[in-house]
Amino acid sequence: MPKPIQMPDLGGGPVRLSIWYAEPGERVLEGERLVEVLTDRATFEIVAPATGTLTEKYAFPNDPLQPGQLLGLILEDTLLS
Amino acid sequence: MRSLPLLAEAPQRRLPDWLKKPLPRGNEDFFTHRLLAELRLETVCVNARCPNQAECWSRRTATFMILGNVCTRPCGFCSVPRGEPLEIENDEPERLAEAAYRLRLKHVVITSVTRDDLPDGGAEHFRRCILAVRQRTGAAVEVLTPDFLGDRSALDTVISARPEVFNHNLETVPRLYRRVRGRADYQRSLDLLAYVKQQDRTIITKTGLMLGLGETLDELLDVLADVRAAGCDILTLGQYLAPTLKHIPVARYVPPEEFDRIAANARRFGFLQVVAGPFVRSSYHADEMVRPHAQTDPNA
Repeated sequence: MPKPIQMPDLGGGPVRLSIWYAEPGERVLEGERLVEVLTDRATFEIVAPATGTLTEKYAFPNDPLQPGQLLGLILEDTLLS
Repeated sequence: MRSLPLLAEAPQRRLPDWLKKPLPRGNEDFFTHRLLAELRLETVCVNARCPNQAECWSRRTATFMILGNVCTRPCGFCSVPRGEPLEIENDEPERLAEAAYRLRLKHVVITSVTRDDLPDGGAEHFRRCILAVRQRTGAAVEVLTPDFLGDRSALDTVISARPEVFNHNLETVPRLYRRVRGRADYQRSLDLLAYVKQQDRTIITKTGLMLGLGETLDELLDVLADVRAAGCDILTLGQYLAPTLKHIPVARYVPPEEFDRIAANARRFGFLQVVAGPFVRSSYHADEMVRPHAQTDPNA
């Protein structure tokens, strides 16, 4: 199963995706910053939940985001070998 | 089909670089979220739209907000709803204690909405919550209280439960009180801190201010002198962040290095602990503020 990149609950208020730091097909490391999201109180960086390859992006710059929303998928290294 | 973005509600501007936080990995925050929902508990984390919520909840900690989620005061900085307050829930102390137990908290922070409608301002309910948490968990308890309109008997009620830390936030400098804190009174808040320390010197007293509301450095330093003169032990300083566009706008974003300089200045006043930074809130890592100094008394 690919690892989902999920939007955390940031405590209400509007949230918007700012930028992705990786493109589909790129290898990412667990803990590496992956997505930047903006709120009116802080900027947050969502980190990669696993080491592997970013395979899908489901949200894009300027998209409004909801808690729990699926932002993308990572195919873990262990599943590739 | 993707729904259209709500442009009017979406954040339009980029904040300074230093107001950036990494989000924790894993889903630990959902554990906290589910537990609080199950036990029907309010937190200031949610109600004040705290930017540290995801981080704190991932660490399985939260700041509990008792006495409902409707406040009787219209403060210009705060996003807690105001209006007709709710009835006190008599089982709230036990539910709170259960949450603290299941979160395995060693340091429990309890705050409340302001309840000027109640004869004791909710002091007895505070007392019951402190005792319930202590009995169930043995944890240290920190209270962050309203000013109880300066009612000494209400304060005595809370003090009688001997919380380890008694926090009351001054929030800002006196010139900005009317705009920021509405019906609060600077001297009344100072007197509260002094009174708690006079009544029980073993209780650690604590206060916090938000920076970036338009205060000057001189005004801030005057407040710090007043706070220390009131015997206050711990000081927190954080960046004010407007909860919504309807609240007081941020006058200035204070850079981290300026927070460091102000903290260095503040330490010269003799506080036991000064914690300052853009994301510092009075309850943020509250356990760590107390731990290194638990056995000392700067007022001795």
